Amino acid sequence: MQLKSGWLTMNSKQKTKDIIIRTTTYVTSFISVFVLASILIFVLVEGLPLLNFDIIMGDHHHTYLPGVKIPYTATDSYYEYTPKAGEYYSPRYGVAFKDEQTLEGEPIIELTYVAQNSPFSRAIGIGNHAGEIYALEVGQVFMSGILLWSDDYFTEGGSINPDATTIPYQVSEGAKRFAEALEETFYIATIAPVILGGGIRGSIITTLYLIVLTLVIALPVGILSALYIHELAPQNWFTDFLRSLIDMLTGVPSIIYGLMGAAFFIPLAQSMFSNRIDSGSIISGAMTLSVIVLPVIIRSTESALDVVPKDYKLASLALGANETQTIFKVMLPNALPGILSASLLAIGRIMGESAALIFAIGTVITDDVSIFRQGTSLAVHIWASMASENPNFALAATISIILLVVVLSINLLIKLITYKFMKRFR
Amino acid sequence: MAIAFNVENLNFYYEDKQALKNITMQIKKSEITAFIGPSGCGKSTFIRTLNRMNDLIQGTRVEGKIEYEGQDIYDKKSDVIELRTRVGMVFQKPNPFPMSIYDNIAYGPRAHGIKDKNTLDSIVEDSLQKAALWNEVKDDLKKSALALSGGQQQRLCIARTLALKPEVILMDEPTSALDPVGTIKIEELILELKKEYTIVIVTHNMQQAARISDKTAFFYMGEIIEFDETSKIFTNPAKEQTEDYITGKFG
Amino acid sequence: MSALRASLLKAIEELKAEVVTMADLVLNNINEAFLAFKTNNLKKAESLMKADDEVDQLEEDISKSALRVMWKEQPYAQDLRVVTGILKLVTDLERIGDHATDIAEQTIHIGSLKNQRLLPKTTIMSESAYQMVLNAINAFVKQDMKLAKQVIEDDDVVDAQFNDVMASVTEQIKNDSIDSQYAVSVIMVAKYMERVADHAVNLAEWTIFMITGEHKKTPLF
Repeated sequence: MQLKSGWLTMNSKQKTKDIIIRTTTYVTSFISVFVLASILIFVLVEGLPLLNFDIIMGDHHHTYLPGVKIPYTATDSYYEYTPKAGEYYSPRYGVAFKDEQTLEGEPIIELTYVAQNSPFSRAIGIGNHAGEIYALEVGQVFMSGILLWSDDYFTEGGSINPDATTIPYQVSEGAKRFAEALEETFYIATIAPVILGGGIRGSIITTLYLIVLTLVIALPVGILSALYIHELAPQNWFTDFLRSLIDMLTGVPSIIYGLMGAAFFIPLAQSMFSNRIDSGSIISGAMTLSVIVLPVIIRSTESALDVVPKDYKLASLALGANETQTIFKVMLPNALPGILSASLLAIGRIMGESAALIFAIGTVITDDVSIFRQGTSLAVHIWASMASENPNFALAATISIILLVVVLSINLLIKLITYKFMKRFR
Repeated sequence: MAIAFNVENLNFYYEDKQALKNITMQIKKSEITAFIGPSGCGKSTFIRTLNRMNDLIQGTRVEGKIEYEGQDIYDKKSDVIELRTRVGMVFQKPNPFPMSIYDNIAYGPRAHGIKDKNTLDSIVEDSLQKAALWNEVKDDLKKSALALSGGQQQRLCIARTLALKPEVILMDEPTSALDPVGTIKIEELILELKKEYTIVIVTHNMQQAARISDKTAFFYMGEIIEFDETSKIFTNPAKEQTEDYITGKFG
Repeated sequence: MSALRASLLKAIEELKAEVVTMADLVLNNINEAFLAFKTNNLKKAESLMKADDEVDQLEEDISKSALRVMWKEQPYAQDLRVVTGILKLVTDLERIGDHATDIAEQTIHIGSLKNQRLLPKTTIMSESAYQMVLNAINAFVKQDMKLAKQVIEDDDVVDAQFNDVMASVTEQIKNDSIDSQYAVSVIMVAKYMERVADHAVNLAEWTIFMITGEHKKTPLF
């Protein structure tokens, strides 16, 4: 249709205004997306290199294996091997090492190759484990506790020299020096292998326990409260007031809940399980988190109930069902999608909560997780590693990636459950 | 003929607003009684007092007496659950639950404690037969009720009410949301149901009241202007207001 | 599958059945009236005088039923044409019934007069008229357009036969070969027979209206 030119066409002033607004919108959107993407990329770049199976499944604390001694090996003993780049080889013992660092930045050396039948595979236990045979394995590291005797260990006569000297060697001197020292030493009297820690398995399990325990406490309480406020209570000034209160609670800084947790829930948990808890515990953490997520769950459940068509309620009551039956057989099942997404919000909040848990549980990283003892969620673990003497930014980024992946997976899972649920009834 | 409902001097208030004024009438058993009148005249409010569905709205107040089979239904001691079992209701917009056809019909009996599968099976079949829906759905009772057409859904809602073996069926504009064929099917069904049940129907479609009802009450501004045999209301009403409404001079 | 609007269909079937009942009665009455006149059966003529009450009652009943269908079922299209057509044609049926009585009355009136009744001509006329009424009713029952049109055409025949009777009587009056009282009665009877034929035509025309919606070739909708 041809518009008559003249009074119906937009004048240029309006056109320019339109262009300015549009450009501003595009630019600001672009900036937001750019900023978000940058953060994501930064975390990925920092954290991905460190991300491996060992970190996820490994203990946090180092495992100190029993010290061993290496059986006497002749100087002309020879094991064939071509060391790779960065490896330093000792042909006499058939072992190779490389330089490594702990997560705190301390230098250590890592055992990267053990030849078949190498003396290192026939190490002999000392002290309490005297006589037992151990095989040292690739991947184990040495941090200290290495005693190398030099060749004045035996006297001319064949007895042990009381003034025998050692080859001075510290792990900080590096793998190359160690390989050389091995060639020189007469006898390796003590060597203490360590399985490196730095893993976050403990914190992952703690996080999962926290999620489950918190939801077990908060979901029933929250859903029932919402049902009461929405369906059963008379709708008067008091219920409105209650709702405003609950809304306000979502705005309370969570560190305050943390203090409450420290002051109230820790002793409460202790008194409830007096024989098993003696300080902060996952239980006290879960209790604290429940209080934090309760308003979220109540609000979301109420919203979900709002959306259930009133018709269903009318139909149920007209069929002679009572309020309880109507609520539990008709209203609640239809509010399920909303409740599930409330759970998702709650889980997100739980996973991100750090300040409150620092107070409500503590900051002790553990590998052996129990709900009656302290532990750290992934977020608190990030805090702990960043707050220590050697902040490890890469580790923090790695844990962040895992957090993001977990949250995303739960997100998708709940969306899938909701979709399947809705499909049944559409 | 026996009386189902006896209403005496009923006054009904939403907060301060009076919605029904001095309603006095008797509804006979095994008859179809229709309520007609313009929007907001109180006919829907009145039908909802008969099974106390107005109780669900906050701030409502009832004065006067409504007796069902001789018993005051607003008496403190009377059981509202039992009332709603004996006096069923079908709504304007078909509202089946988002469940299977079977579960929809079994809902009422289950809520009243019937668990035996065989009993439920026969109740479901019986109700669907009575609602003239059995042949259309018998092959797949597990199908979602929401997959049915509007007219079928409304017949399902009627079957759902029939599952409780009520004595009275209240219908609040049951065909307003349906197409003409669906409407006719429901009207035919209502004429069939008259043999066993007392039916009260609110309708804004006068011709529908003419087609199916035995008695018609004309409501206006919360009062009953005229209540008489349908033939009289539609051929020679006593009140001028009734005549004006019927002939469409106002609506 | 049950029929839709069963109540409407049932109501119309019942209405049609009532019309057939009335038509049968009227046919019977008119036949008896013609016969009584022909055979000078005064007793039969007497009984016919009261028979019309039943016909009148039937007309009222059918009108009531038809009106009830109108307000109750709000019929449309063919149903509407049938119901309104019936409302119109029962008046013609009732008039035919009246004419049976009129003829019976005249039969009684000239009962004592011994003269011939122009029997051949009036008998022919009565047979034609009777046949027209019968055909018209059959056309209604079967909704038969062809039969209805034939009834309309046959009216010309009856009109011609009427003229014939009139000519005869006029002739005889001129010749003074007929009793004057008798002449007047015979003319009236012939006139009634001619009116019966006219009403039969009306029956046919309303039947055509039920089928086509047109009355005397004019669309009424």
